[in-house]
Parts: sequence; structure tokens; C-alpha cells
Amino acid sequence: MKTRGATDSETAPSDRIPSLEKYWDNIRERLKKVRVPRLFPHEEGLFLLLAVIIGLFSGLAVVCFQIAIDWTRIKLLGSSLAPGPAHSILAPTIAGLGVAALVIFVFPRVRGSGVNQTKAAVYIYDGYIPFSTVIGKFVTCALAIGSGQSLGPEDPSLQMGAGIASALGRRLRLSREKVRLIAPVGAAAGLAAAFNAPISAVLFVIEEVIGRWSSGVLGAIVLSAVSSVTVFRLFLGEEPLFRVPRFHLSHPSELLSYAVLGVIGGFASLAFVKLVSWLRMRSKAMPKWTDYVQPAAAGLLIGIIGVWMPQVMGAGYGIIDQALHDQFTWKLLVLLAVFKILATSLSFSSGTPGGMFAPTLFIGAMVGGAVGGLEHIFFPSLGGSASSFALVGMGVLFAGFLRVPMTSVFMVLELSGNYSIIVPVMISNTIAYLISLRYQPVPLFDLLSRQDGTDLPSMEEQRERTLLSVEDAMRPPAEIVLRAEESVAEALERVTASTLEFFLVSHRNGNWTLAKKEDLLRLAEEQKGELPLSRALPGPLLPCLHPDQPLDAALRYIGDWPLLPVIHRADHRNLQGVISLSDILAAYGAATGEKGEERLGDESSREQPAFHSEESKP
Amino acid sequence: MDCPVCTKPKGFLWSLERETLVLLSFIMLAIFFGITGFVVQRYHASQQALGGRWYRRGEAALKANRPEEAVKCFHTALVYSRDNDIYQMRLAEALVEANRLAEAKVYLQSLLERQPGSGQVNLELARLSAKSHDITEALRYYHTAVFGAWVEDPGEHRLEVRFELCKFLLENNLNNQAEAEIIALQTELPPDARLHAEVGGMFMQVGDYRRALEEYQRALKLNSKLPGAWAGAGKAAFQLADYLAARRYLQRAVEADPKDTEAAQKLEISRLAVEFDPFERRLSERESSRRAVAAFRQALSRLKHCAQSRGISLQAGQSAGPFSDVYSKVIKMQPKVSLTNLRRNTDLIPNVMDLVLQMEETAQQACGTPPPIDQALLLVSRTRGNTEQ
Repeated sequence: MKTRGATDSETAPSDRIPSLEKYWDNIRERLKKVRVPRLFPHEEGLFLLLAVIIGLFSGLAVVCFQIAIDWTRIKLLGSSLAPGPAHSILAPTIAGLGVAALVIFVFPRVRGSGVNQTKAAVYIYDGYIPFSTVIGKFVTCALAIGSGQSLGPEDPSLQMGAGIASALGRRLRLSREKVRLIAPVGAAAGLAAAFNAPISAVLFVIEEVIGRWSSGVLGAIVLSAVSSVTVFRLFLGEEPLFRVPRFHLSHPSELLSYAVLGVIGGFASLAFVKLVSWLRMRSKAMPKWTDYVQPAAAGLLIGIIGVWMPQVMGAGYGIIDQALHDQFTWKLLVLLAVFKILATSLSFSSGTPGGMFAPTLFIGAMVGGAVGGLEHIFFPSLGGSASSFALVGMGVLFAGFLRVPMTSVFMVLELSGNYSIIVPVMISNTIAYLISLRYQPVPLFDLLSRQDGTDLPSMEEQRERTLLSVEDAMRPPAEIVLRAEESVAEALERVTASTLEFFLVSHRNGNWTLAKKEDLLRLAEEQKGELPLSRALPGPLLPCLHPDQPLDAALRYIGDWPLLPVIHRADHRNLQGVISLSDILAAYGAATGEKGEERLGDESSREQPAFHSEESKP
Repeated sequence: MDCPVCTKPKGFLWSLERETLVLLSFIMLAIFFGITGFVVQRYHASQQALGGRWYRRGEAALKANRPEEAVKCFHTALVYSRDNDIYQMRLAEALVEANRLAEAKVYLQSLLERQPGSGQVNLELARLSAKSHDITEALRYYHTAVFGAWVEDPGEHRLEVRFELCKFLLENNLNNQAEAEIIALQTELPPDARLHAEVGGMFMQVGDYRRALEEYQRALKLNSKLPGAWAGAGKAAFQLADYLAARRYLQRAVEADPKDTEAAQKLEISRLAVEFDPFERRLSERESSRRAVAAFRQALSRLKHCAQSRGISLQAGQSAGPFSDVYSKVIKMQPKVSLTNLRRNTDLIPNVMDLVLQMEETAQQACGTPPPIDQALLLVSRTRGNTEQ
């Protein structure tokens, strides 16, 4: 006996049951007809709301990413902290082959630094990052880091955040300017969740990606970072990235040890940058077919190192945690630092996707711990804990290797939650940064972008650029300065012998006007020689400049004026100098000439000859 | 990389209004939240299971006295369950077992930061500081542990900590502080014979024999068969020069444990002290005199034997030093020391006993520990001297 339903379906299936496609079309039509009130008449409001949405999405993505890495690690290397030799060697090698295939055939854009790709999106591609990059970074990095490649998840998280932001910005049809700015917003969200540290993430994006404190984007960056961290903590707990022990400075003389740490950390950063740069150049110079095996070869070498030193495999957060708890001897810490530098350089230069943040922290912690251990041996009376040195060491490498001095200081503060550590951190970080700056003029991220043949703006160069001020261009006060209460005849008598055409007129109330010799002659002819200048030539008032103002301001004010007074800020009648358009242009010309010479000097020592500075761009 | 912003074909999403797209974003966000929540739940469950597995391995290693392996296992357990205080505590304990004190301290201090009032953490830190011979720190942590929070049986734990603190102070010869702590502990003791006896032993160590005897007596009241309590009470009474009580307690102690040689020795001395004590209450004049005469004779005999063994002549004027001094007094006193004379003049008995003390002390200085009978005489005569003073 047939049921009624069965009979119906057999008789007229297509007539009575609409297909999925029809349902979908129906939904689409209905969605198109949805008329919601205009909530965002101005883009600013939408931009801020979008920052929160981006933060939430990024936070969720990073949570899933962290879980994926952990899950991969357990599946490939086992749950033990020290995997067996077979796992150590085979897992990164085989995963390396898989990663290479994915990068070459499916996600070609995931190769390289996420920071640079986000910068490229901002400065070159109008904020465009394809969504496939987000998926590609997620899959390949989870596989690579989970299998033991010596890379970290922060850089990919940053890029995933930027990619999500870019996709949302485009879908919501933001203006070109806003789409360009949205990638850093997402980058901050991704990094904040990965570090579980919003302040450091915001600072890093401002310091390294945007390069300026722009009120237009700062609010959005903060909102996205905070929302992503909130999501991360909601799912993975409030615990910070590391359990940082208490810090106390036993004696002010201990600061000397921190200075030594700064020096050693600076040179360690230098070695790390040089090795990464050198290995990357060599690997890029290899035949194309080696791209298929380079990640696997790097994985094999890391696996071999991992048989003796399993600590160098993966991101190494657990090991950093142990170093922060004084669990290694100084000799082992030195070995770990050296082998981590080697392993990370191998992984990164082989084109395996992944970040350098975690390895940098790892190396810093090991170097710091080793210095702390040595201090204990040679100066036991100081009594400082090696774990404090490990903590400061993380900041030191961050400052020296990634060259983000502000972020490096705040990161340690944020991770430790201890304000008293700021003095040693500042000392060590500054020393490391200066050493790195001295012996490695081009920062890591710029070096990588130049190796890739891209000319991204260097934030460090922007920071280091000398700003010209008015005093760099002004001339000493003119020989003759007229007073407003002088009569035309008296003024004419004073200026007759001068070859100049224009003269500044000083008024009692601090205002300045301009008198033309020709006008004075005309007034004299018109029998107005007795009139004071204030009445004979009443205006217009001149805009006044101060010596410390940027030269750009002078350029804006100069307009059609033949010259402008440069006055004292406290006494407006006190003339410090005068400035004209030709003076401004001459100052710019001189500065560009000097910089150009410096650049040429840099060019000769650089590996990549094809480089032109920001200033030389039209 | 080309910019495909402008070249990409405008699809369905491009035809929707911004507000609709924001709404869709929220819906997608909600779905993503749901999925992530599910994944995270599974993840946490698997992490906890892994943590538990490694924790059990660590426990097994610790039980098998393999602390290094236990440390590794607890470390791994903490990787999967990093805010688990029990794992961290066990790791710290394993590190202490492995003699990695500095590492253990760091872990315990981080635990202390999270639970500053935890009795257990403070106790572990106190033990650690004690191991590192940092007495000040150890005392600070012990005191915090005493007044700290305990999850289960706080009273019992506090008592244990107090005991441990007292033992620590005694080990480090901080007797004054120890006595104060033992007195505080005494007031908190439950009616447990063993604990009272233990406290009694501690009072003995700090030399507070009166309180020690009280504690032993309480212990014996609660359990008259408690091993060691009779001996403890006997020794306390012995120290208090209550030889009658000491004899009683020690007699029971020796009966309970005939192998207790110290108790047996003290019993013998106590017995002799009771027998020779001329000052015992309720003695007749005759008996007091008899005991004094016997003590004098015994002391003189000991002095002579000792002098002989050391080759010293006791004849007047033939030697200088303590022996001749004492002996000259003996010569003077000897005619007066007779039963008849002392019965007639009982005020002489203390003088006789003073001389007995001098003879015994002189002999002891020259010839070392005397036989029990002389020890008993020493104690009896000393006690009288102390009482008079």
C-alpha cells in the first residue's frame, strides 16, 4: 500500500517540491527587497562598527587557528613535549612537502611576511587582500607550525585579520581610502588576539604598518584589537601568553647586567637578521624546482636538530614559559638560542609560511636567561632572577630584530603586568636597537620586501627622517625694519639707499605688515609724507611664523607674499628672521641633496640595487 | 599581484544594501561564534583529558621515586591544562623531590600570586625555604600557612603546620621561639594521646619539663598504653627531680618496653635517689640520719677510689688541688658523721650532704660519669642545693 506522500512525490516531484536553487533564488530576491533604515549615512560610523565586527571575526579566526596548530601538533608530533626521533624527523619533512604543494598550487600568495603583505595592501593594492590568503595562511601555517617548523602564529594571525578586514571592507563598499585603511585595523585585531595583548598589537601596527598616529584610524584599530582580544579570552581564557614570575630589581647596579643583555641581545639580533637575509637570498637564487622541496628540506634539518633539542621545534611558547621559570642552565639556554636562530632561519628562508614573532621572543628569552644565569655565577651578590632577564630578553630581541622599539617596551610591560620592569627594559631595548641600527641600516621587514622586489615605505626611515623647520630656512632679520608710527617721509628716508623692494613694518600690537618702496614713493608724491605708516599703509596683516614650526607650515602660509616675518613666540615684536619662498625651496633642496648622498652611500652596500627612496618619488 | 577590485564581476552581494550586508555579517558572526564555541569545547575537553593522562603518569613516576620523570610528566600536563593549580603544585613538589629548588620556588611563587592566602602553597614554600636554610622566609611562610586558607579540614591542616613549624624551630635550635609555638600548639590540641605525647616530647626538647610532664600525663590519661608516654613522663619527672614520680613512671615504662635502656638506667638512678634522699618528707630523724651517713660513706668511697685510680694521694699535705681541699673537709667532718651524732644534731645533715656533693663533683670531674648510686647522690644533693638557693 502506498502512502499519500509517496504517491505525490512519484507523480509530480518537480511541480510540488521546489528545488534548492529555487529556494536560494527566493531568498536572494527577498534579501534584495529588504529595506532597512539607513543606519550609516556617514562612512565614519560604519567604519567604527566594522572595526568591531572585524575584531570579532579576527578573534574567532585566531582562536580556531591556535586550536588548529595545537591539534596538528598533537596528531603529527604526539602529546609529549619531546617527540620521538621518528616523529621529529618525519613530521616536519612530510608536512613540508604538503606545505610546498599548497603554496605553489593553491595559495601562492601566502608565502612571505604577513606584515609586508599587509603593508603592500595598504600602500600598493588599495587595501586589497584576497580572502583565499586568509584560508591559505590558516591551513599552511597550521600545518607548518604544528609539524614543528620553527615559526610562530602571530604574523599569520596578523595577515588573517587584515584579510578578513579587507574582505569585509570591500563587501560593504567602503570608499577606496577606507578600504586602504581597513587592512591595518584587521592586522591589529589579528595580532592582538595572537599575543593576547591589545596594547602591543595597536602599537606594532602603528609603528610598523601605518607609521603615524592618525586619529582617523587609531580609534578603529583600538576597537578591533580590544574586541578580538575579548573574543580570544572568552574562548581560550584570561591567562596571558606566558606566566611571568614576579620581578624586582635587587640593586640598581643590576642595571649594568641589563645593559650587557642589551649589547648581547643587539648582536644576537644582528646575527639573526644577517642569517635570515643571507639564507633567503640563497634559497631564492636556487632553481625553481627546489621550491617544491625547500620546506621539506628545512623540516628535515629542523627535525634532526629536534631529535637532540626538541625545544626548538614549533612556536616554543611552552619553552619560553620554562625559561621564564628558571628551568634551564645558562649553557642550555645559549644552545637553544643558537639552534633556534638556525632553525627559524631555515624555516623562514625556505618559503614556509609562518611568522617570526614567536621565534624572536624565544631567542630573546633564551639569551636573556643565559645572561641572567651568568650573572648568578659571576655576581651572585646581585641576586637577580634569571627569569627576569629572560623576560627583558624577549623585549630586547623584539627591539633589535624587528626594530619596533616602542612595541618592544610595551609588550614586556603588557606581558609582565609589572611596571617596575620598565627601567631595565628601556635600557636593554635601547642598546639593542641602537646596535642593530648601527650595523644593519635596513630593518628586517624592509630587507624582506626589497628581496621580493617590492618598494614598501620604511617606517623606520620615516621615523628617522629629519624634519626641516622654519629656522633651517630663515634668514637673519632684514637690515631695515620700519615702525608703524613712523611717517612716510621718515620711512622713505631710511629705505632710499636700500636695494630691497619690500620692508617689514612692525606695529605696536605685535602685528606685521609689508611696505613696498614703490608705494612709499607714490605716497610722498601725493603729499602724504606726514602720514604715519599705520594710516598710510594699513594692511593687510602678514601671517607670522615661529622658528620651531615645520617648514611645511611656512610653505602653506607663504602664498603670494614676497617674505614673511619669523617672530619670537613670547614677544611678537621681536623679529627672529625673515623667510621667502626661495629660502624655503633652497632649504628643501639642500636637505634632499644631503639625503641623496647618504642614499647613494647606502645603495653601494646593499644587496638589492633596485631601490629608490620615498623622497625621490615624484 | 593585480588589484582585482575593479575587475571582479559584481555578484549578488554587491546588489545588497550596506545595512543588509551588516546584518548578514552579524548573522555570519553568530554562526562563526557557534562553530568556534563547539570547537573550543571539544578542544578544552581533549586538552583536559591529555593533561589528566600526563598528570597520572607524573603521579606514578613520583610514587616510583622517579622525580625527574615526574617533573617531565607534570610539565606536559601543565601544557594542556596550564591554569590547573593542582598540577602546578605537584610539579613544584616533584621539583623539590628532584632537588631543583630554584625552579620549584618559581612555580610556587607564581601559585602564591594567584592564591596569596593558600595554606598549602605557603606550606610548600616554607618547606622549600627550610630546605634552603632560609629561616626567616621559612618562618614567614609557615606562619602564613598556619593562618592561611585550607580547602579541606582546615583545623587538622593548621595543626599539622604548627607541628611542622615547631619541629623546624627545634631543628634549628630556636628554642625560645619554639617554646612559644609549642605553647600555642598545646592549646589547640584535640584529645589525642599521641599528639599530647608528641607535644610533651617537644617541651622536653626546649627544657620545659613541667609542661612536658603535664602533656605526658594528659596523654596517659587518654591512653595508658601509649608507647613512650610512660618513659616521657618518667624522664620529665626525673628532670624535675621528682624521683618518686619518676620511679613510678619509669617502672611502667620499663615494664612496657624492657629494651628501653635509657628508661631502665633512669629508673635505677631514681630508685637510688629515693633510697638515699635524707630530705624526703615524712622521714624519721633516724632514717634521715641513716641515709646521710650512708651517702657520706658512699661518696667518700667514690672519692678514694677515684683518687687511687688517678694516682693521687689523699693524705693531708701530700697533694694540692680539689682532692686535698675536699679531703681536708672530709677529715674535719668525718668524726661528726655518725648515726648517733646526726640523730642528735639533725641540722648537720645538710652540711653532710653539701660535702657529699663536693666529693661527688670532684670525683666526677676527675674520673667521669659515676656509677648509678653516685649519680643518684649527686642529683639528690644538687636538688637540695638548688632548692635552698
